[in-house]
Amino acid sequence: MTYQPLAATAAATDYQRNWVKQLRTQITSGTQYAFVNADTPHELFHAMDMPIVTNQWWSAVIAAKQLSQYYFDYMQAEGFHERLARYSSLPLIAELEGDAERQPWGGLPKPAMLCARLSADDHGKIFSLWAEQTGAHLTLLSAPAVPDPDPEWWSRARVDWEELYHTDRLDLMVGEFETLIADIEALTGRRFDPEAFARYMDAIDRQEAIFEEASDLVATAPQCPIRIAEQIPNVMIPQWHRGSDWAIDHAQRFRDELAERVEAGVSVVEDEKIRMMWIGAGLWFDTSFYAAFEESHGAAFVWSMYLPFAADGYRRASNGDPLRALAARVSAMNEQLHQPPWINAWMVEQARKYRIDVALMLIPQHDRFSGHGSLYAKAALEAAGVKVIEVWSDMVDQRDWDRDAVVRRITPVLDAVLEEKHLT
Amino acid sequence: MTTVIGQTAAAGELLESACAAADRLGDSESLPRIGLFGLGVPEGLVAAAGSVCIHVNFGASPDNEPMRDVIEPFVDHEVRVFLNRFALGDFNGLAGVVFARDDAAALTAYQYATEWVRQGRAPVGTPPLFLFNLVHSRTVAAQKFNRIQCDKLVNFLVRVGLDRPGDAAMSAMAALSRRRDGLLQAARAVPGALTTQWRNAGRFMSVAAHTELLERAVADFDRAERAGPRLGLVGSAVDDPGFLAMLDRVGVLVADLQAYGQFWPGAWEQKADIEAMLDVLSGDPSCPRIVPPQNHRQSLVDRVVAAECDLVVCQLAQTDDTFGWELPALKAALAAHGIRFVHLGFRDHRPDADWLAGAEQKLVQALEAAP
Repeated sequence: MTYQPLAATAAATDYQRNWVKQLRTQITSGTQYAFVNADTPHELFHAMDMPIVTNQWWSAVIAAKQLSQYYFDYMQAEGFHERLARYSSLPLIAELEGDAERQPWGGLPKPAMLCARLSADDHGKIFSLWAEQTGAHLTLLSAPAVPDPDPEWWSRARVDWEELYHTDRLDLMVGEFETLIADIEALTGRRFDPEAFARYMDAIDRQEAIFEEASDLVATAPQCPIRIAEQIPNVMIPQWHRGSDWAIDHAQRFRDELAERVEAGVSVVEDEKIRMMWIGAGLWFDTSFYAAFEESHGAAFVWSMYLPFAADGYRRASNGDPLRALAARVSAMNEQLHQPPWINAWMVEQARKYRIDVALMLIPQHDRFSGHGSLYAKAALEAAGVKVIEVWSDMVDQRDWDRDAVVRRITPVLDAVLEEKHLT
Repeated sequence: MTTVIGQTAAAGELLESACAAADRLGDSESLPRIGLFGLGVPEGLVAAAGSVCIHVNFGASPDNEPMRDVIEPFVDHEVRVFLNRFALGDFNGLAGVVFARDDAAALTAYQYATEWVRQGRAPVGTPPLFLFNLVHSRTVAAQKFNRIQCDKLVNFLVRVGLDRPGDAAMSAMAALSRRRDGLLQAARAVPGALTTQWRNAGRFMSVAAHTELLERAVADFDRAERAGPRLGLVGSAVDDPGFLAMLDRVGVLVADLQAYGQFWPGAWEQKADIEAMLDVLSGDPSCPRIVPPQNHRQSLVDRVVAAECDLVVCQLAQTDDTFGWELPALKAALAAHGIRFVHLGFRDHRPDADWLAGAEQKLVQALEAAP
């Protein structure tokens, strides 16, 4: 049986490609856009009709075009050392390099605004260099930590977020949102409409609820119906446009197509023997790696964080205050994926839900924020009976990646799992 | 092993011994001891509550590393040492430990230690841990938030048995800090390796004891003006005696702009009023997380220029992921002032003789080259 991609996948990537083209046209005609980090309140920009481009998405696009090696060599030649974070900085380096034609789709025009959250220590540095380079207005959002993180954050965060994330932190974030709103108003000349924003937040919640149904389908299907290389664009492209009519329609299309596959018994591998999870950001320059063990071991990667996180990371009841609910969504967004005990507890819960046998854990050595908590998570997964393989590499820098060597390390582990399951 | 500083040795030697003993320095003041991790905690406030502040991130690696399996290789050396010592119960005599959120190493130390406690793996007698969540921003929202963090810190101190700091105690601490700061300024005639030890000895004793020893040590010291190229030091936190001695051979360290250098003690310690103290602390440009971020680099340049440096030396810990973003722009900004900049690259916590010899050679060559 040959794996057939979902029709939704091409629809998502086509949409995004056309969106970027339209964005370029809009900007040429005077529309201003913002370049923002993934853990910032995209909702505020969307609500005020200011286009945004997400740093990590653009980084993944550059890496997928096999350009990261060139840019990271350039980065070092310019005097930045080789141990600095790469995922969050690749677009900056491309901007500093200056040749827009080298970049995917002719590169990005200069943004009017930059926005990052100080969840990682280097985000302020990276975005301030960008601001110095482009003259764009820079907004940095504070990121005080949650001092007493409840392990089961995903259950409490839906409604009980005030207590989980703490009133003082949410007050601070709302205060900073209000400043950001004023800045967007000044740049665009548009006014923030609280009622329209409340409706928009409800729409996002509907979208994330659909993704939750999709996640449940993948988790509970007898065999995995979709490769994670397809899960990711079908989730993340609508997430970059979350709450829009297209995004909700696409989420429904994706969920329905998955349901049809499950109903028809379509699966990634005909006789699924091993279920694997990929922990960490995508391996953007080699997404075909996710299919590497399908034929040899009947092993499918069934889990990556993007689909389940759409529900657990985004669904926040408005509790009568949509702006505050947005603060709850944003105020620990990234930390939940990297900070113990949040990451270890969530990994175990997800591994159980998805019936995982083996986890591959991407640990980026030079993107410390994304690597923190990895070994705590590894220990928790192993205690829960999951075999964990550490992959010390980077999500966008192919210079650190030796696929054959990784395959050689994983193969004996999968052989052993097959033996344990008496499937050899 | 506990070292108790005697009263008969010369004050300079006492400061050097205290610095070497670090948090194992004996407690001769009979006050509760509060551990501190990271730059950015209002130590005067903690002391005014009736305690002695003891920095817990300066010890040596233990032979046994109970937390080794959960500490990634990119975690800072000082965090690794602290965590393993913490898990061994080395800090059990402390009344509590306060961590600065905006200090990268301190946040990781807090989160990993807290998880160790949550998992029930910490030894009996582990002190309570507190995260001081102050953000380095001066917006109205940040000011309100930071005041709450200060109140939370005070509540924590009261919870562990200390007093609520009163105005008189705060004023006394601020006055002592001002006096100590004057002595540290005077101590700049002392070679860099020595002045760093004299300064950092204060991390392990009361401000009063530190001030008294500094007063005697400065008075004892031959204050002949030291000659040589004027050096600045930037980059990762470094207190290695061998490294600092190497700089002393090359020139005179007049601007030690790193977390184990002149960034401590912070200028906010000289403020008796809490609002004024928080204002200085939240705007401290030595914090790499300051908003706006450009203030950090600009502050380094301003201080280097004010100190009339001939050459600025940069060095980085093996785990640096932040300061490296400053390098090209800092080098260019200094060049605009005619100041040379040498980046020595990555170094170990205690660099070996070969590394130090290579570094010295690079600095000498840079000084010999035409500006």
